[in-house]
Amino acid sequence: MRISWFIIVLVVLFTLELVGPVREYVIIPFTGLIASVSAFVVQIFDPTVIAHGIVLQDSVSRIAVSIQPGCNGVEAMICLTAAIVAFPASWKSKFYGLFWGFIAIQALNIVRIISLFYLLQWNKEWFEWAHLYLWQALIILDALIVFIIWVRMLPEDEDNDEDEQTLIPQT
Amino acid sequence: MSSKKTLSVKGFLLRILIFLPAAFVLWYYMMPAIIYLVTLLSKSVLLLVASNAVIDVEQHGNVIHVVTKFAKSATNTDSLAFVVDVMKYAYGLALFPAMVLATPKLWKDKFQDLYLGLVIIFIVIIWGVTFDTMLTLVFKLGEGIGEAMGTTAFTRELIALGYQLGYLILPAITPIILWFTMNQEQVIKLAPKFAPKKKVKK
Repeated sequence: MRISWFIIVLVVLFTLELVGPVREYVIIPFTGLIASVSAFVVQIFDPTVIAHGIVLQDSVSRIAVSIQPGCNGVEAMICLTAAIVAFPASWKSKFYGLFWGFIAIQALNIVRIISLFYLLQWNKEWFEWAHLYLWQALIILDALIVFIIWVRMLPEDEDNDEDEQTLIPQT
Repeated sequence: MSSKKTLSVKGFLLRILIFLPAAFVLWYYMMPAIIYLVTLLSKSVLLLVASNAVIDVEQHGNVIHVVTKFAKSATNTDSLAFVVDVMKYAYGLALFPAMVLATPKLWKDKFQDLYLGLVIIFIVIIWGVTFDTMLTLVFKLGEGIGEAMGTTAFTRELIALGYQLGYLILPAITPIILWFTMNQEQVIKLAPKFAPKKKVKK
């Protein structure tokens, strides 16, 4: 495990996330896509829900949630990417890990958005609690669990270019 | 921080399902004590970095009130105060202990990890509260306050950046990075090619 790689990838990706043009042309459109997908999923069982931009709204009660940076799963994805890139595995395995990790994190994130949308209509206090504290912890924990499952599922005999003996930290 | 115990995915998942709800309940009921400590620490920091704007930091239930030197209005000379929600920076105090308790390690090592991790998470909370306060002072309380505090365009950018780091990024990633760093040996051994080879009995 190369902890220096982990930190470098983490710093680079978080810096990119905070850069204005990246936020404008990547993060916000991506957040809008998450809102649209959430609306699509909700509309399967509740056709009164609509999405416009990053807002998910009930067309009857007019109650809406706005999906802001921090609620789009990007931070969890960045952590997972840094951990996978830093781990000694083949690039093929890393690609699979990133792909399935993205699916797992965004699937849970859509559950988060939908649950918060209905929680807000039921009780604002519980919404705040779940939004600000509980789901934040669960999404980042999801990234960690995806990572350790990916590590566990790595093939035993795969090749990689790194010197395995130097990767296990000596304590 | 080595341990002879080995991490298993199923065991970790099962234990985190038990410990995380318990940790959140404990975290909620301990919040007054946590906020008391955060109030003391953030008051020291804010009186140091924003002495020209902040008079006092007070605990009110599960939030803190930052009292400023500025008057509410020309006709009302009461001090302008605002609320900072500490809890949104502090969920790592529930998440990290749950992760440590769910990890198979000697109790001595767990306490060592908890001690170090909680100190770092408290630093992250103080960072969040400090930049939240600075952001409110400079951008939300009204025109002229930022200038009265002597901020420049560059320092205002730094405050906005510090706030984003302190709200969006650090509270979420700190518990994970701490756990990852403290348990990297165990995580590596999860991979089949690095797993300790079982001895075959003849």
